[in-house]
Amino acid sequence: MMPEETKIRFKFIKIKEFKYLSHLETVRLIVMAVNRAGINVKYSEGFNPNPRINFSFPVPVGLASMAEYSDIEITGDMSAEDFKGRINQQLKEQIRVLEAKKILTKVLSLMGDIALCSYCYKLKDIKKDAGGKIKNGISTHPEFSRSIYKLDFNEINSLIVNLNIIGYTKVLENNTIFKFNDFLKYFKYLSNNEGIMVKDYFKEEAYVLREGNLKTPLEIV
Amino acid sequence: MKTLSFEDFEKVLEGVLKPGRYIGNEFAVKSKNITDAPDLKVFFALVFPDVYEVGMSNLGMQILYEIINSRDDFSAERVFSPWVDLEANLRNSKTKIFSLENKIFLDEFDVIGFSLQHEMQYTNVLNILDLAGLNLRSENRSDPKPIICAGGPAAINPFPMAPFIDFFVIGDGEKVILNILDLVKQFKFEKRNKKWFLNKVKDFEGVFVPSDYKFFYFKSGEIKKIEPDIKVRKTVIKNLDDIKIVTNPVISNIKPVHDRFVCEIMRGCSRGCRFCQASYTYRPVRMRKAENLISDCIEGINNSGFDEVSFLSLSSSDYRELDFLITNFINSEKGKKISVSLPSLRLDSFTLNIAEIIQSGRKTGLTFAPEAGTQIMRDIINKNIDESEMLECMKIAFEKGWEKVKLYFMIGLPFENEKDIEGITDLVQKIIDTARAVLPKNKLGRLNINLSINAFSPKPFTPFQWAGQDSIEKLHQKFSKIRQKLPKRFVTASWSDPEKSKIECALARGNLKVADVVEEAFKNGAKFDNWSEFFNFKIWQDAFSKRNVDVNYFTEREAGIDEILPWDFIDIFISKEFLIKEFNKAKNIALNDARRN
Ligand code: SF4
Repeated sequence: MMPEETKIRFKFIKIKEFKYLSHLETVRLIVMAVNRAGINVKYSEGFNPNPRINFSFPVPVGLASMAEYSDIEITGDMSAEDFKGRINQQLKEQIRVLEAKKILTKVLSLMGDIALCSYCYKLKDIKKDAGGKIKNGISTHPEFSRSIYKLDFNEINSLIVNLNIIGYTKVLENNTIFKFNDFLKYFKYLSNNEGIMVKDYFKEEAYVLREGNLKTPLEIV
Repeated sequence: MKTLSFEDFEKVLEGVLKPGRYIGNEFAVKSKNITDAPDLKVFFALVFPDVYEVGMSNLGMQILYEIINSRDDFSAERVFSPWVDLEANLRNSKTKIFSLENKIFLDEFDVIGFSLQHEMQYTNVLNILDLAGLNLRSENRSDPKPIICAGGPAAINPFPMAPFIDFFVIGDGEKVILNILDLVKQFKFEKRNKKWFLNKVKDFEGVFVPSDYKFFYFKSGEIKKIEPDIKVRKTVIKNLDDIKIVTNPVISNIKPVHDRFVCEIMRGCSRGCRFCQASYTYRPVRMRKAENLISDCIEGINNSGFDEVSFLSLSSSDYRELDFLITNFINSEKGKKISVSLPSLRLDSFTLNIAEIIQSGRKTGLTFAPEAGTQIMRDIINKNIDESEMLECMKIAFEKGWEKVKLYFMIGLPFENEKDIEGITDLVQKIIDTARAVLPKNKLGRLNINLSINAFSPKPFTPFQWAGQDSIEKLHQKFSKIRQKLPKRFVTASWSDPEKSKIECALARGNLKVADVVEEAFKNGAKFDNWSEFFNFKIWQDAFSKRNVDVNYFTEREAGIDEILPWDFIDIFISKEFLIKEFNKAKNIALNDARRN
């Protein structure tokens, strides 16, 4: 028997100049691509029916992202691969679906479930002891220290060092929420003091928590 | 060609409110890659002098963009007015305005073409020229490139913009644009000068080259003579079916003001309401075949992904195959999932059925445009709407479950008197009475009558082109009179700004002297004049007085029938004699009404 509906969770990127689109603009763009692709999205009942597509927490305007997530409900059967192929034909390289999976278990909404996000800052001209100083500065900072779950420096090559930060997007216990834009301002000031150049930054991944472990939203469906 | 680097692009976007307006690269963009053989192509900047979400809703932009880019050797790129935040960044960083697609600086294009939708965009045109680092006046632009042209409804009287534009296109641009660009190609590759080009381009139908014309004035300000005595004939697409609707429009990245697929079913309107410029300038009436439209529309909706279609025309009730079009579209597989809107539907008992079909279940509201409050005033303006029929139609509508009606009125019309003003509030009362008679108490509470009351502004090429406009004070008096008498319950009303209407009128009926005023106003900060938060009447008042031009000459003064009007030398296929006859008809209706005198 053909299933009446298919639920798919997909991950997409939002990069280059398209990082300047707001959340609502991105949603409109994806809904229109879904329509063009001839994917029969389900609509909510009622006076003002809306397509049943839900998104993860808005990424700040201007921040590129390698990991946006969305859940869609489709009438009839459709494989995740087919979905990905069809929607990507209707999208540009700046917004593309990387991976799609059928939702086979009961899941919470993306907005409710995602608890952490990781960000990557590409740094240049970093001196030997600067990493430690920065780490120290951040971990003792009254505003940001409790909003960060993890912070690492990773040497990419002799020129570039990545700073990877995982911040909270949800209050779990004693933590606070990681405010990307506020942090960026502070971090730019910090790195300026150390003579470091922030070359690039983007959102890397989003996570849910399962029994104390970090999982990506696609790992749990 | 010089372009803005991505790094600099990011810099000018810093702190900008809706950066999505400027990124371009939308789905279905059609411009060419500039790195492959740029010197073999003609680059056209299609400029809309308002923000992105307004311009992206304009059908003319989509049509021209499609037509120009269908040629391999032409490339059209879009430019919109930057919002004030981006403008500040551009000026502070001395960055020139650039196109959306390849971020080419505007002054690098071979041709710049402005789409003029209404008079209140004129200062935005100057602002864009200025942001491109170009001299405002054609005579001061010595380089052969870029050539600057303009077209659209607000180019129909070109004079208030004539000193700034090298040539205008009057009428439908779809066909002539390709001839023009072929000529630009020759001009570019044979390295000709601008004079050579203008001398040739003026032979195309619909093209007006201001530098060819001279004006002679009487002391009073009236035009004595226009030289040479050669008329410019507007250019017309005779058969609309020759030009397919745009079935793969550019999908704007941010929500446009009209977020739907647009399908133009007909051009022109033969009703001849005497205040209506479009009725005269878009003649003859031309309809597309419904059969083609249905399949093209479905193709367009599939290509674009919109969930709403708007069947566009000036007066859709006059579209011969309306019933066929709507029924067949709605019953098609795609049509079942798409909402349909039909602006400009003139409601009566027949079209009410159509409204019911397209608003199935939602009954969002019905729109009526009686324009005037009394029958005699409607006769004067030739608005063929009968009060009892309209009330009957509303009665049926209320019975069928509609609760919202929107009404359009105009005040300050020629030969208007107090009775006509009272007629507006009387009519509203009658609508409420009609609703009371048919609606049960629990539903009556939801009745909503929304009035939009606009000040009349006489326009060129209409039978009222000679009429004087009411003064600002008079308009305010009329507005407040209506406001006092308007029933408070069930009614909401919006008013146009009389100060804005005055400037609109002066620009619409302006001559070359008004062009000086436009320039002066721009230099003193006028821009986005159509946006109430930016419109500044004081700037305009000062500009008129600084340039020694009496604004009332163009607004309150009634022009003489035998006067030479600035736009007289443009031939829109309607004779001045006809307009005079129509004006006299209106006058006679007023004179024969004993009650008025
Ligand atoms: S019906 Fe509308 S478009 Fe036609 S002439 Fe009258 S006002 Fe103009």
